[in-house]
Amino acid sequence: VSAWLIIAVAGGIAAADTTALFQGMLFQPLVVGTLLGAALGLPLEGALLGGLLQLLWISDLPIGGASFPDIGPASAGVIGGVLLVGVPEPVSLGQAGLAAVICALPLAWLAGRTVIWQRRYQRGMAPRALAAVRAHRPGYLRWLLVEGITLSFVRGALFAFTAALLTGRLLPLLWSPTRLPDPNYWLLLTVLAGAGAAQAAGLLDLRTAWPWLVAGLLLGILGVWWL
Amino acid sequence: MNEVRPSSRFAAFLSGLALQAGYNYEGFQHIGFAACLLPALRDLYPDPADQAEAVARHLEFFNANPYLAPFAVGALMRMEQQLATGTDGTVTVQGTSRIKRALGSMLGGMGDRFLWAGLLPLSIAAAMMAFFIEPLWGALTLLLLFNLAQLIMRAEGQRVGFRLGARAAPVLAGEVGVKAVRWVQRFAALLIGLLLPVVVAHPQTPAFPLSAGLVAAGAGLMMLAGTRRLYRVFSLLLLTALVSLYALLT
Repeated sequence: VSAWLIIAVAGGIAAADTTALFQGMLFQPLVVGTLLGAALGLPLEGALLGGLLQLLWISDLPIGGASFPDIGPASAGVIGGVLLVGVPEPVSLGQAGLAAVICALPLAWLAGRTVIWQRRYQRGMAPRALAAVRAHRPGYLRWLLVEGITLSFVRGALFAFTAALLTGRLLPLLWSPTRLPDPNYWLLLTVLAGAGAAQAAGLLDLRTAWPWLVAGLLLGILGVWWL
Repeated sequence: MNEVRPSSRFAAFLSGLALQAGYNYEGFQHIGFAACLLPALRDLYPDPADQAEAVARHLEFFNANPYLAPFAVGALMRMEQQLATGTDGTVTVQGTSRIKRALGSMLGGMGDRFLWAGLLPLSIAAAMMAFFIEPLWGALTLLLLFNLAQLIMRAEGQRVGFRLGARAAPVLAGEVGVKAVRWVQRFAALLIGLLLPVVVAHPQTPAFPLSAGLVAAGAGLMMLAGTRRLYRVFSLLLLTALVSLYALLT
């Protein structure tokens, strides 16, 4: 029970960090995976799964009112589910990574829809805020912010819990009796690293930054050759 | 004479961390912004009716990059102080509203280019480099690098905004902002370039020609997918399927 609770809390913190409080990148899959893995007693496995998922969504950013995949709670749910179900099963890291990628992509999109629903619901805060201020109770604005943070936390916690349950249910079906192929974790990570680098570079203004990209590449090749 | 106390400025900084908590599709960050100004407005308008009127003025639409919004909070605190004390006759209620709107759109555009399309890719590239050296260091690198920068930006932004007041908008639109965006993006590009050879030469990834081919395939397919999210998701699934097929066949 405590492991499921940890997953829910991790999802709640990730969701609150994405949209409501601090926005300190606690929702990035690499961070979620490492912290959740540490809390569940599997820090290395958590970090490795988080690193894999990190490369999927580098260019999907929680900007303003745009719709975006909510990667924090989805990562918490998927990584939690894989760690809880995958470790008791004799599953390789490659199989766990493959399953995490397959589950995380649609779940992050679904989590993003819940952000939109919450923001639509929060429209009701606007008249409440104005009414409170006109009634000489401006301190109520802070309670509205607390309400927003709480809603984000609860949304993320429920989503992560449900995603972990779904992932946990799905994985044994995938693994047995016809097992997923073992893609080799590092093979998968290498190809996704290329995809992640392209996404990150796509965010930049490459008309002015491309010489720096090439310089980094050359410097890296030189450094690797030297070492 | 009423002035904004340093403790109120600190309270505004703390409230700024929850600027987006009341985000909605009507006023966007308006509740968070008004909550940030609340301690200052309490200092400036002891009379509850005046205070309520001032807070209500700031419940109009506001939307900016959350990490740079403290700049607008600082500038508006200064303008409200000038308005309340009458020390600067050029500051008017309509003027504060105009400056607030201008700052919001400027900070939104600049912040998105600096933070989301500069500092974040830079931090993630550094974190992934650390991850490839030692997987547990990745998260720590990302948290330290990004949060150190964002907290300094929030605190300095509010301080400079408070110093400049109404002059904040022209300063922000000047050369400093453009240069900052250009340089952070250059460093991000440098780190992304550095990351790729690290991945290819990593002892756990496949041997040289194959690893370079995999990185190139991943990057190439993602570039072909472009900016459409659905295409990107299909490309990622296709890459995963191809790698699994390759593993199955070999």
